[in-house]
Amino acid sequence: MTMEDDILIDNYLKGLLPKGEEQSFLERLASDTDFNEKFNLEKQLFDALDENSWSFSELDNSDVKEYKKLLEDDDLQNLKKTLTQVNSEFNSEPQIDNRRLFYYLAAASIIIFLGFQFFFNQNVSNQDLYNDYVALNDLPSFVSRSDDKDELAKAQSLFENKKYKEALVVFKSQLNSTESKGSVLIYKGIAQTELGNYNEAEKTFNILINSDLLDAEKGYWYKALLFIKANRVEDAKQILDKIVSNGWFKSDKAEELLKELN
Amino acid sequence: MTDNSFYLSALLNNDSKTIKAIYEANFYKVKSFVIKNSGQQQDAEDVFQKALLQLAVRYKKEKFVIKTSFEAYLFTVCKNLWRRELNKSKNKVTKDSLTELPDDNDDIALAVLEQKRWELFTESLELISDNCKQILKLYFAKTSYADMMMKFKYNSETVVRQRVFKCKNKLKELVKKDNRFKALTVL
Repeated sequence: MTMEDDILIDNYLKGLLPKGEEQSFLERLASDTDFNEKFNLEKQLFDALDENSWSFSELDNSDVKEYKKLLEDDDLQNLKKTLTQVNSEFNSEPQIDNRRLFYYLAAASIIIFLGFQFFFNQNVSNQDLYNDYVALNDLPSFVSRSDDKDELAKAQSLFENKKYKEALVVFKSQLNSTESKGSVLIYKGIAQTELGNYNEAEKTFNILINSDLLDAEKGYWYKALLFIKANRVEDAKQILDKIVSNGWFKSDKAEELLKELN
Repeated sequence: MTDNSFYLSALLNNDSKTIKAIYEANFYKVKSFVIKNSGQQQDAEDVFQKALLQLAVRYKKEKFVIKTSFEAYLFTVCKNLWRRELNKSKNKVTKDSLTELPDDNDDIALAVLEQKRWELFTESLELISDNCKQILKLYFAKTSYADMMMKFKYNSETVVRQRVFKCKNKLKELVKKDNRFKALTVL
């Protein structure tokens, strides 16, 4: 083959032949047997020796016909059946699958166990921290106050007996008529926290924080405790940092608490 | 009887115990190859079965000799069968006039011939000079003449083309001289 023909075939196989030349190339393939033969070998090499392609053949080859006939013989038909059977047995082998399943389950249960441990431990420790620091006994007492003392003293007593729901009703009703609004807001927020109504508790403490009451800065402290109980540790840390750097209510306790959280 | 013909005979004799041993020793490697190359478990199972049938029918017709280990040879056949599967759709596009129903036996019979042709080509490629082998490997991997010029430090692309032309002629000479060539091309 000449180099010109070689380049021609090469360009055709790579799809680089211009449209006009492609037509005359195909005509030559059809009419020139010698060129056709050369092209076929070239194409076979081109496809077979490229790892990304494959050189296919045609059914009209005599050997292919013979293989096809032999494949219909009893012995090869029986082999086909045996292969199907061995394949399905082999690929559904219970001991392999079960062993794998066992490993997966074992691994999964360890992960779940660790997850529980982590979650549970954290929960417990956050609850403990909240309980340690909230210091309910240190809350202001309404007992000695005059006007509203009966109602608020009653609410306080309910609160101390952990009847938070009932206590809340009273705190809410007294909120706008009391002189001790700051303290009532603190009780209200803590009662909500204890009941697990974290969103409402957060709102209550925000009202306190944004008020011009003397107790406003106490709102930060209780809000931080609320976040700890709600497992929002990062949020709690942010507030505690603020309390410490501004020297607000319970800043010493806040510092201590921060250390525990870290 | 060599080890290799032992396995080939076992296939023809439908020896299920040995067939099971073949599965145990070879299937996972094939499966991992197929799955790594965009196939599924089912594809791996099909390829493996077709490969064993290919070996059986070829051995039945011509008692061929496996020159490497049986495991290595079976893996190569499976790899090529998977290449064949991946390129089937491309091949159909160019031959859309042939819309016959696919027949497993057709596929296996064709694959035997194609595997034999591939063996002839790759074995012939091993026989030419190292430089030619390197050049042709890049050429068949569709490396551009410009890149080959850089790699082999030739002066121009024309020189590369001439070199490819010469090496290809050498390869074709070896292929045509081989006794197997005639059977692979005559109708």
